[in-house]
Amino acid sequence: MTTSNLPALLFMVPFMAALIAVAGGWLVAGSARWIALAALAVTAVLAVASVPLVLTGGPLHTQLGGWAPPIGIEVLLDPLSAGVAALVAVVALLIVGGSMREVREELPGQETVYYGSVLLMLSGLLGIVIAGDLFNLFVQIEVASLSAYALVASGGRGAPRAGFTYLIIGSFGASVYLAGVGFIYAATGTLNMADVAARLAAADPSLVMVGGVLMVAGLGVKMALFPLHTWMPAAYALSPSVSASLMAPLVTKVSAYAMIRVLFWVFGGGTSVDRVLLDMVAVAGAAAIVAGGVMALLQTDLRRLLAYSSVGQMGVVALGVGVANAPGMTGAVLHIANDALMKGALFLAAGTALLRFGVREVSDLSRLRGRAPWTSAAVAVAGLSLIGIPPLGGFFGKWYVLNGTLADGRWALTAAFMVGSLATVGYVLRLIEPLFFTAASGNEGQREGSAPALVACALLALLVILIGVGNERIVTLIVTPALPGGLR
Amino acid sequence: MIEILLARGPYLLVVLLAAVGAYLMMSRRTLLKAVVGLYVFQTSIILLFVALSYRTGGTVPIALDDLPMHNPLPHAMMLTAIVVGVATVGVAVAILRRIQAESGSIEDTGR
Repeated sequence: MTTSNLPALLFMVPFMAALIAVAGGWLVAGSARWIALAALAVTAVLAVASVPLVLTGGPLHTQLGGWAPPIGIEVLLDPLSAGVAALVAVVALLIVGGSMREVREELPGQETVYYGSVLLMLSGLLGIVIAGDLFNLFVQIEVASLSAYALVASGGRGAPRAGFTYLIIGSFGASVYLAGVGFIYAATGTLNMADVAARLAAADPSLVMVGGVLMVAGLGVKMALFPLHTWMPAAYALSPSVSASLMAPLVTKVSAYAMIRVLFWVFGGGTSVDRVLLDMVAVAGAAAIVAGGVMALLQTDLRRLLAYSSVGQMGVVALGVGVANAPGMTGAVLHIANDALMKGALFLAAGTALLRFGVREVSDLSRLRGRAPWTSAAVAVAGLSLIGIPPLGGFFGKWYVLNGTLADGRWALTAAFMVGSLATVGYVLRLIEPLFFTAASGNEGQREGSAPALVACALLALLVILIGVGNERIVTLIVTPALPGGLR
Repeated sequence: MIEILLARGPYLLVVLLAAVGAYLMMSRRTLLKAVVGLYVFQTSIILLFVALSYRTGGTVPIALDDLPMHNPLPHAMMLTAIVVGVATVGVAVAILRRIQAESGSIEDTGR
């Protein structure tokens, strides 16, 4: 076992930067954004550098305060957490870097608070990724969530109410997770994930079952797993577009990671509980694919459509996790990365559409036709990837998950997957049609978003393409080592 | 009956508080009631952990002699959970103020 301060640095850098950014922005107006950008750049470099380190040298552990686990609190980077941390840090850097002008326009006078909340949320999200302890995971979830509630509620009309609903449902979910941790603690007497996993076999099965169901349900709220997704559409549709474009790619994806971590690294110890929990997640995932796809098809509000699309994509992840075989899990992990990148590009484009062209409704996207070719192209790439057109990233995530359901011969799940995919084709065409095929209307002469937003949007779309083109290497070099052991 | 109540008392209280909290969160005319419900629900979980730490015949967890101790770890965790709960209420009330400023009331409009 290698001890290193690198895992702890990943969440300490944005955390300390949050304090510095608020103080700095208070002393020198406008300095918060540069402090945020610098901190996120450092975090992204550390996170990306940690991936090869962990892949070659094994997991890195930090024992906080020098106390060895299971007594001390441990944070760690293994191949899975290093990969997700790199994804989170890079996407956050691109979006924060790309939306500086938009933040000034959309939240005048609130810039310092915005960047403080953003940094706190990222320290919470990265804290979730590196948590090696069930209670610590709860605290980091709350750090990330409290900042997220504030980011949603900081918007105009309707945003405070959406943020409030998000707060009540989200905190309820976190509390349910904590109650589950209580049952697991009662059953095993420990909280360190590896230690709990080792002791589960000897623990009281009924306590473990109740604890497991509560924990999975609580995390399900956070990852917007159908039918626990109800907070998400309003939160992402009514929040400031800069908040939505940062949260939509990250919050649910990191929660999905936490779900994988708990299911396989805590409950994966061969107990019968594990199978029940996985079936719950698989069925919810299949239902989410259908419901998310159909609901997205019915939306008229652009960001609401994208939020329901996320419900469906998180369903794909959950289905892959739930079938719990090697292709399913490969697809789930790949699709976490895909959806982060696709939703990053799409929500940035939706922000440009709102701020430059006043577009809220899907049908108004025709105003962008011919006037914002690069933004439109990024939407097309991300949209086609959502459908699953090869060789884009989305195809491979869905392909592996589909193979996962076929491998087990669970036809009902496969059928749900197909129906949801069909709905995806429908709603993506609703996005692409006004951008490329309808006569342009209104707002003559305006063009594109700010240069940084355009670059960020283009880079995210490029990463979607790269994940697809380099898929074989990514799966063998990064995804496969990150999967839990013992999968078929 | 009395014995069962005494043995399970704290856990029954946990269930009762959780039910009251969940009910308050769902049946609301004003949004403030949801905050109160959430806090009551969180309190039920704090009580669950504290009840778990009880040892029959236990004493305060200071290792001076060989007497059995109550488990101090859940208390330490729940101090953190209480802080989290207070922070949640703080953010909730701040958001309620924004709602009040925006729409003139904190009635639940069903949206």
